[in-house]
Amino acid sequence: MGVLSRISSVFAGVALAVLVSMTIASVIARYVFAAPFHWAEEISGLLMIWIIMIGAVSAERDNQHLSIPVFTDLLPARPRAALALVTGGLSMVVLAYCGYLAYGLAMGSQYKLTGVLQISWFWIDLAVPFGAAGIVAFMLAKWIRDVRIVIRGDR
Amino acid sequence: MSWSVIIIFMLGLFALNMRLYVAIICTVLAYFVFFSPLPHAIAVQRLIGASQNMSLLAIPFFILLGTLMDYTGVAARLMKVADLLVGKLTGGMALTNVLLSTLLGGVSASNLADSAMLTRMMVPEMERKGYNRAFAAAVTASGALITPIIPPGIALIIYGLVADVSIGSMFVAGIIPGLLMAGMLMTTIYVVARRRGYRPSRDHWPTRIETRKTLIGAWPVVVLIVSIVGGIRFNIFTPTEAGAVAVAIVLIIGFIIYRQMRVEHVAVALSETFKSTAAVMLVVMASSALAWILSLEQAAQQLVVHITALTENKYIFLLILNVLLLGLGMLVEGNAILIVMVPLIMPTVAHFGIDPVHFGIIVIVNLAVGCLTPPVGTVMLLVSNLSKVSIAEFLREGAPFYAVLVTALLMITFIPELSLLFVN
Amino acid sequence: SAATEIMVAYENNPGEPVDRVMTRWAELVEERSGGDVVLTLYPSSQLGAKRDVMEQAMMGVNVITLTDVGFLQDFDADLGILFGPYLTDSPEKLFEIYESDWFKQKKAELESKGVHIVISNYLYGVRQLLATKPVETPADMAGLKVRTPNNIMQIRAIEAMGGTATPMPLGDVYPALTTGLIEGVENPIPVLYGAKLHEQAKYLSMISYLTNTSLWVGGQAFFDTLPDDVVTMLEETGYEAGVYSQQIAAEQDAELIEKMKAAGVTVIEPDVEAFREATKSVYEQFPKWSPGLYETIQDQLK
Ligand code: NA
Ligand code: NA
Repeated sequence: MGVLSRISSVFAGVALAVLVSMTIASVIARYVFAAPFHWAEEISGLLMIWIIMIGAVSAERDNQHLSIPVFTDLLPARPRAALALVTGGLSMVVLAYCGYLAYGLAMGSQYKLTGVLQISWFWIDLAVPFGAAGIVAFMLAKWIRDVRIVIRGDR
Repeated sequence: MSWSVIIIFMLGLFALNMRLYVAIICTVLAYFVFFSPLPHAIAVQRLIGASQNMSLLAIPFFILLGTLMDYTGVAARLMKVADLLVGKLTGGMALTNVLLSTLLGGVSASNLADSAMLTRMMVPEMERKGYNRAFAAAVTASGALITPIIPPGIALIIYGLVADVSIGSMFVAGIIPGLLMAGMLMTTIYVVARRRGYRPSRDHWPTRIETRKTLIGAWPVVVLIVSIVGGIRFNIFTPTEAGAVAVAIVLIIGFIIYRQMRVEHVAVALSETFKSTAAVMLVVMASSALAWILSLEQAAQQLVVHITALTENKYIFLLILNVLLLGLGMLVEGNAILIVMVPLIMPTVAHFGIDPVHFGIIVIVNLAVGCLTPPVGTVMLLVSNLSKVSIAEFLREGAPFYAVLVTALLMITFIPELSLLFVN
Repeated sequence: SAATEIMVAYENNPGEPVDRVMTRWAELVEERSGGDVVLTLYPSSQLGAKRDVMEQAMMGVNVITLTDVGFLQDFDADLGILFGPYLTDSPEKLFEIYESDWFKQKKAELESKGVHIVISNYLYGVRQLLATKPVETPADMAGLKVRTPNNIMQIRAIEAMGGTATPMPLGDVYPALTTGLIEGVENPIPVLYGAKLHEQAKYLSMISYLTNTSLWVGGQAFFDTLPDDVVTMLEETGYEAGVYSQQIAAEQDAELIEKMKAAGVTVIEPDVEAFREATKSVYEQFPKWSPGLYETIQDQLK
């Protein structure tokens, strides 16, 4: 898991750095060379979805995804963990299914190309199964921890 | 009305502390499974489609910018300058926050991007100066809501297009309501700060020597602000590009001029940025998939038929509409509502003799306030995520600002002159 | 029996010519089918961007949508030529191509790839240039930053005239013109007027560089589920809607030019020949085209 999170952090960090640099380069290209990058927008879209999906894996690891714990916080630890098992299980099913659906979209996207670079949507759609798999991996680790709490009453 | 069933289901999942984005996606999939013969893959297509909207690119750039400003010492120096101006006042830093929001209003053209930058930049500084962190977060988020109303906010343009109203008029109409909201927020901050005993950060006004020294030390900050604001106002780049260029300038200031920055800082800033971007963008993407279902089911058409049948009184109509828009604004992205609802409701607006420019301002203020309201108030979610404040704490501290913003909304609704005074 | 519902999705806003033509089509379909077939309209990209809606259609969804050159090129590079600059002077001639053997063959190929063409005589409009300075000759275009849609044919055409093509979404054009990030935009007059761009750019150059015909298409998978008489009815009423689009385009252009003038816009009639000459090179920039394609098309147009 440590390796997975390190690789994903480096990947998303580099992608974000490329995104910033490319945007600056395209401003320079427009003013200095009067030749804007027609393709910048397409690469941006591609990088953006990968940054989001890989970033979502790191956010899952660090427990940074948004939720509303106001009501469940009222419960004692054990029932709360039991509830988390149910919602966590459902979440994993939902995300795994999303990953599967997105993989199907990716495979069927041979006629969906970007306007200038003619990049297939395959590379855009593919970010979702990758991200979903990573998120589910970290969710599963938490889920197993919750199982222990429910069984043994650990804290 | 299958859409109302799934919305109740979604609220249930929210209450069970399911991750918001998963809960929304789960709801969307449930619609496809139980209520629709359409292929389930469309649910995922709508998620991905929303991520390809280039105006959202500004969000990671401005989060990164705010984070880097904190690490480079730029934020601290900016605060010193602000301190010269308002440090003698009670709650001075909080007032500065709203003032900055109003001045920067429309710079990033997105209240998400604006609030992200200001949260990263202001909240740590305010905390260091003794403010409650949740209070600082609530101030930042409320201030950022002014952005869409101040020209050239994107929402003003979209409304002009879908309602067939001059965009120039919309720009003019937004000014007084924007200033009104800023003024009311600042008054509230002052009152809260007094009651809490947030003491002024300085006990005397600055001397001339002190002023000169601070300003000279802060010249790179001035360069930065001028290049962001000037770059956009004077034809040089788009808001998204301004975010990227400002990041480059901050790096130069941090590494070469103030020499407070290290490579590790950049790595940490990048990692914080992509995590926060992912956390908020997934909610935005999921909520636009939900918006797709509401479009498909023609939910807006059904709602419009109901509310227009409810009353023949113009003021009651506006009141009902406010409640409805606030409700919708809590659940889905504002601009999606604008595009679908406005054309449907324009005939009724004309029937009641409501000025379409005035109506536009009402709608936009409404949707802005929706960004601050749980469960899917995107600005609230982003700010509480970035400042690591729980939503419950955020709401407790945000309550007075929320009350004031709703009051401002009612004033803007029932006093057309606020919007129309300078139009034509 | 329950009515057959078909969704019609497009990016244009309510009240624009596209929306008016589709409203007319929906009325025709309701009348002709006695209410058994219902077209539900989804303007303003409510169902997603063009490519997304097309993908939905390919998945078997009951949706019909307006295609653009980019989409057609992805299926068959040759179809891109139909959006070439100054391909012909008359829309009538252009529509004859859609009746030709060349196109019938393309149409059959598209059907085998899952795309069903419903309307092929739709006139989206003639694309003109609205700029912040007067453009009378290609020399005036030198370095002019002109927004184009994000597709290679229109980018090449604007660049051949000497402009700097700057692709961006149409929704971003208004603020981009305000700040001078771009200095011009090309589109049919009703689209320019609908986006209120004349508030920011005061020179309309009637370069008429592209007669923008469009196809309305659905997924073959969905059309296969419809009875033959319904498909025929949709195509017949669709043809009438197409005729209406041609009328509305001419009327709207004349009416909106007057409105633009009243709003302070200067209308320029430039020397179109010079622009035509400048854009000839565009037809040599698409190596994926079948050999002799330009000549084949020009023969059809005579
Ligand atoms: Na602001
Ligand atoms: Na919202």
